[in-house]
Amino acid sequence: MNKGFLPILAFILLLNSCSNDLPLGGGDLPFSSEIVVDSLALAGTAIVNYNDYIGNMGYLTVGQLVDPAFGDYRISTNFKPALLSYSTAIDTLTKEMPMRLRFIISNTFGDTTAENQYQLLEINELWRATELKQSDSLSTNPVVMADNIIVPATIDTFYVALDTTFARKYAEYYYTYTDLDSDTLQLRSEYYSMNMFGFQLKPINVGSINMFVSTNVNLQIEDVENDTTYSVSMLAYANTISVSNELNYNIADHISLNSYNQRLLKFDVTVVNRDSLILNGSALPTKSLSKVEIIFYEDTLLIGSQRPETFRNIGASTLLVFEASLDNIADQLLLNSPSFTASKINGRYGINVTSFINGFIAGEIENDSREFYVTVRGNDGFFANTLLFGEGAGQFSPKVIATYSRTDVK
Amino acid sequence: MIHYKYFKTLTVLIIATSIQLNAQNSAFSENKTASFYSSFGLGSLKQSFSPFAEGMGVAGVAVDITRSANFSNPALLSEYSFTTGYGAFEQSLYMASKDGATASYSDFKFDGLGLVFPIIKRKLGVALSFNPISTMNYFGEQVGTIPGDTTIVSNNYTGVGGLNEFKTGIGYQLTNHVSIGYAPSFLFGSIKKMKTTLFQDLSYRATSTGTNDFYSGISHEFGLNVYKTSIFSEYDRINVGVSFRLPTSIDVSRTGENLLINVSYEQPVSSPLLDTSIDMPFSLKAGITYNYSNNWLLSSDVVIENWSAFKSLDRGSLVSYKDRLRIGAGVAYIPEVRSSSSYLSSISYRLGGSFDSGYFSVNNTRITRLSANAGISFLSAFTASSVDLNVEFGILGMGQTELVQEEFLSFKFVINLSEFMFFRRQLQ
Repeated sequence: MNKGFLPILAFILLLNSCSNDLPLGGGDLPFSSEIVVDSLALAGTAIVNYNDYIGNMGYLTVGQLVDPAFGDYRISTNFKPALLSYSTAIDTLTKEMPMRLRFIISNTFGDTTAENQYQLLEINELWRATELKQSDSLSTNPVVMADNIIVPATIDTFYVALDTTFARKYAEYYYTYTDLDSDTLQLRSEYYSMNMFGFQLKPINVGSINMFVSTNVNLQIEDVENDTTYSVSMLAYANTISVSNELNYNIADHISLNSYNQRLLKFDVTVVNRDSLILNGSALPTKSLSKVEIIFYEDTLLIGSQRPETFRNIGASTLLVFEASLDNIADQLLLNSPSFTASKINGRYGINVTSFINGFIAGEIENDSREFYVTVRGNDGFFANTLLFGEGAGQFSPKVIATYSRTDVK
Repeated sequence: MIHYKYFKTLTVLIIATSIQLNAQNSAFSENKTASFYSSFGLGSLKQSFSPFAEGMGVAGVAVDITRSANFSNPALLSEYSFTTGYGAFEQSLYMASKDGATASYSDFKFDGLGLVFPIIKRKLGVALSFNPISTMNYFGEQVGTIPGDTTIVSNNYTGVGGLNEFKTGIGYQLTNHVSIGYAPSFLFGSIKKMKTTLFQDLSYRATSTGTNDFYSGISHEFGLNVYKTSIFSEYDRINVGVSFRLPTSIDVSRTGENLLINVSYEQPVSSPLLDTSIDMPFSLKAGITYNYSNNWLLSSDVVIENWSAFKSLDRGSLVSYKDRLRIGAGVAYIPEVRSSSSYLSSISYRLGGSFDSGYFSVNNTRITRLSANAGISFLSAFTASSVDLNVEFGILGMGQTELVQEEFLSFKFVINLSEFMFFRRQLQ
């Protein structure tokens, strides 16, 4: 009998080799294939006034302008060049060496045809960049170090010569300690930091706002005798901003934000339980959520109609969303990456919060609520602003778009 | 004592089963699936509870061949002389067609096992069996787009599980011509249906959601078998069998299944949805078998079930439940096997066919099942044991124009063991 089972075994092996196609009739199965896209109003968004830290963020920014869609901005930048690294090989740093500040413009906010005029002042108080907030101001020596620094729209680099008084002082700091052991180097650095207060570059006309990547601002020391230029980067820098004649929009119509985080947009998400999810007052489905997107629209038309054609605002291309509370918002903005980022596409910001929502639902905690704060771009010193539509803006009002698949039976 | 040939047989079939199971486990991504129509109702219903009778296309309600355990009619449990058991598995191939497109797929499944213990030889027998009574195993895909968008969405539907029965039974021969039986069974099982939605645009998360239904309940079946010998000749016999399974209500507990899929994790979330009960229909089986000289069998039977009273938990408008009628007829030849018999003369042959109206209609169209059956049994000359191979070719949804039409080819492998490793009878 066992001979008879060899064909059976061979036959079973043959069956296993049969191909398996995708079955037909998927559309005839008695289950719904419908994808539902629910659009819900994002009600109850709030504006939180905020005074953000602005030290050592990435960009040095200076300028003054009238933005017809927002108000009058005036931004000064405060900076302190580092002390040239001590080296016995450099024994020719003299008190007579010419020194100048070099600024390479990386971007401009505002009228790109405007000519800017700046003043350079000496700061006369001790300051720490990381402790400065954007509304702070630093005391300066009334004697202007360099006046009428003219920056035409056509140039991308300008220099500000420093007088011999500064050069002498800088050389003194350089030679204060000449040993190369680490303790001495530390003492040298601390001594310089405590006694050298730095400069303030401030606008003196209405023009545009120039922005410089921090590494593109240097103190240059020219060793003419040896035909060498030493370039020193910034030890610390911070921009301070003041706004006047600000247009106060009704939050129901418009939400005004800028990258210096003078205002933060707030919304919250609450999970009552796994079957009940509330996003700023709107109940969302909790099952089979494929996408939950919070949408904001920029009032591009209003902004565009008020600004001249030569006006440039390239920084407001992203919204950043931080999960935070009022108690820890500073840490979140400074130290952590945003929970979500949304890029602007045709004036529309879509913040995809699906992962968070699904994870939040999956959590065991009930009656849990989270706050979210929205900023423009993130405070890196680069200036940008945006005007979002508010809740009363009809089809352009902020909304939550939830996409989910139905599980009904046909 | 285990006979050497059966040890070899068992070894071969275990190897074959292992190959099948391995193939099945490794082929989830290859859409191993059974009939498209198993997605409706409780799935595809088991056609027969007698592997031997299934090769003849009949349910087996009047087939009293005791070489193979028969659970179609509890009255037949009184007929056994030897402790008899079987185990079966089935491999099916499906060839589907719709709108000029074709696809083939396959399914492998365990198809039940059972044991009959004769307490008093050919007088009183008891039985235990475990059988799937409905099977769901489907995979389907539907592709569309998000409303107001061009993003392509692929909905993948899967359903697995089914109802099983753990049946006990007792059959007793009242007179020389009449046997009766009773078989209570515990119905249980789960059916899990999931819908997984995938998006072409990666900003959308895939979702997987569905339901998992857990069934449990008790059913009762009563049987009657009447036979008369020497009808047309000295060596013939006619059996008339009837069995009736009472309608019963079984509990259903439904949970919602939601697989939260994020970039870094997948978390299944289950939540209870409802506890309720559903009414299972009665099942009336009646048949007749003519047995000539214990070599030739002609049998026919019908199965009637009132599924029109069935109310599924999923109440859509697409599917409606209808009373089921199954008719089968077939013939079998069983040789007398002696130790001197040749290999070919030790084989039993069966042939038959069946028509099943199905128990539901889709868009008011009955989904029928028409099949031709055949079977061979390798009989042992030394015991009553045998190995069966049943083949069934059929059409599901014949004449369908809107839905899929499936042609299927099933192979069922059955090991029948008699007087083999079981307890010595205490009463004779």
